[in-house]
Amino acid sequence: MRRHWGITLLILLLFLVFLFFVNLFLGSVPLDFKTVWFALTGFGPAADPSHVTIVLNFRLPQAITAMLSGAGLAVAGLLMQTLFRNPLADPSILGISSGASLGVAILLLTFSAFSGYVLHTLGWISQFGIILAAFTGAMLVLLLITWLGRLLINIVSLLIAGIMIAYVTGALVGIAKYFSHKEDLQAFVLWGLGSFSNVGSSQIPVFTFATGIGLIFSYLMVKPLNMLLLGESYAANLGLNVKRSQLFILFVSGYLTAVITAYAGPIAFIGLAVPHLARNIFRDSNHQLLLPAVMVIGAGLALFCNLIARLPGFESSLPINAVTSLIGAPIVIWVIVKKKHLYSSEL
Amino acid sequence: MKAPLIEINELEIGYTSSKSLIPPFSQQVNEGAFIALIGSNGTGKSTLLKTISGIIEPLSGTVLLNKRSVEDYSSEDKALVVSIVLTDLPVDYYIRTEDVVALGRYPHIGFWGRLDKHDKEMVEESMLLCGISHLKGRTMVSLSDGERQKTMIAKALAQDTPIIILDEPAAFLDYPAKIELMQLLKSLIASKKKTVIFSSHDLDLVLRNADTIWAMSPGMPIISGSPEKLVVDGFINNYFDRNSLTFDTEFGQFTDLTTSGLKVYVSGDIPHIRWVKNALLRNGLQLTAKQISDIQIESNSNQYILYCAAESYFCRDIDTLIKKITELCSRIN
Repeated sequence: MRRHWGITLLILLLFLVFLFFVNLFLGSVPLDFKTVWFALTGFGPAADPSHVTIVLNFRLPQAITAMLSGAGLAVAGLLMQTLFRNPLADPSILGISSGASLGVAILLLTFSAFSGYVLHTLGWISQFGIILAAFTGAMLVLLLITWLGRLLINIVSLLIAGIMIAYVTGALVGIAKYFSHKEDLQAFVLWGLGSFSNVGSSQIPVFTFATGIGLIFSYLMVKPLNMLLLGESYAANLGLNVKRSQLFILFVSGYLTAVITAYAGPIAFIGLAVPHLARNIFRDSNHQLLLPAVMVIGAGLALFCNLIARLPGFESSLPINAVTSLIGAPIVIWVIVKKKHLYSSEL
Repeated sequence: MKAPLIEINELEIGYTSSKSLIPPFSQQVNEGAFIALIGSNGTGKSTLLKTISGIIEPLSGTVLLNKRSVEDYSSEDKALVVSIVLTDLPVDYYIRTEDVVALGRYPHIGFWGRLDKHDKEMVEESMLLCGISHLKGRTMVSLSDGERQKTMIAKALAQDTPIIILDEPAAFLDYPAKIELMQLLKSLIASKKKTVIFSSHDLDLVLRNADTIWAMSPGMPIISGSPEKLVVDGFINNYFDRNSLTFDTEFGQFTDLTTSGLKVYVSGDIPHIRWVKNALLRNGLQLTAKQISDIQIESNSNQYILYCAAESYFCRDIDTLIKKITELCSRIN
């Protein structure tokens, strides 16, 4: 069993690379290999400059954003599911993405109310503002939940408190929407549909760094995560400082969600579906395996969804949040149906 | 004389802001002890075990493990002294037996959770000792209750602690598996110098296996002693008295006091009279001394003679005897 880990992971990784390049080739303007090769490396016969621009300024940043977002959300989902020992937990369950929405909603509302400008006409200022507002909103909710986590003894109470916070934040978003200008409301709705194309090529390093930190910190949690699989009492008996580890896991997961939601908008289902997919492919719960596995699968699934969203034939791209839901929900159902076979033990 | 491995001083247990579940309890436990904790549901057996293993804090008093208070241990150090096996089973579907056992090595290994050769050998050996080597590669959810229990014991063994504490380890097991479990624990005490404390509802199992019993009863001090002493001194009776039940000291099991059946005296060869008595109690009859009995039964290598009033009956085997007895009962009632 264990020796298949490497091979399966390698196959998944190759598939990820394949999807990455397909993302560069396909779109409203299909490009050939030579063009993409030239755009990426500068070697070979010169290609149409507009095509080079398409690759470097649009498709490449979009593919990188999709990959990092997919990997980050999948890791965030895995951490939540192990932390709460609940297969339905995902990055949005504690209201962290609603916190991002609230930040954006408040920005849109107050900005037009106080300055008289319609925000989304202001180009990059608006985009930067939205990222900042979303991140602030998400982090504030995360801090509130972490603070609650220190007060509450029981991890289930924390889950319930988090879900309640999600409701409150959602309600506040509703109120903010109600008072928004029509134009800002549209901008808000567009943000809520999610997009991997928000991160321009100049912002890619910042985004990569921010998600990278989260992913690295999640790796520091392999041992505690494995211990928590046995439950809190066993974990404590194995020498784990349960409370501290739980808060740290919560924070890493929330931070990843905050960064990704700030840049790409709320993206549903990847965080929920990918950990299930990974556990089903490998039939294993060891986080030494699951962490890299969900990163690869999450990145691949996000790239796949991104591809579907702008299949040739669509005039513009479909909202990514809708695509991830359309693909993610059937995966979750499939996993549940497949779990019937769980009790057949031999592999 | 070596210092006791576990020293309990004036211990009061319970959850914060509540009254102690027991009067102050003091006890010393030496290396190699095999202690069974008995008591009805809700008396605080789990709480006591969790307090001794340092999962919850005592309300007052101290628990010393190796002469050091359990509260002074860091969680990392404590993990090297006491390991636990609990009733709550891992809910995770896909965790594998060898990974569960390997978790026992976690207190011994570094930050990244990599097992070295020695750790892997410990995992192998623990699985072998617990007889679960053949379960390698299986997911926890696919195991039977007994196999799962053994996996958790293997985890505790891999943890390599002098003390192992088990909460209701026999709860979900069938009878042969319970016997196996007891044999396993005894062999670990003998070969690995472990000290074992476990709780159980199964009085029969405990009386047959434990070296020492701690009997708990709501609001009463914990009584400690050998199984035999507790039975002979009538403690078992005091601790489990339910009005309608009494512990039959001679027979080693509970009998129903509400029966008003015929009084029977049984004599004869040992293995057979034990089961004759079983049949009598099952049918609501009472075991008494010869002088006051209504019926006398004499057993001789699976043949029985039954005296009732002035009559006597010969029974070829135990089934015939049982049939005869039920016949007599219905005739007299």
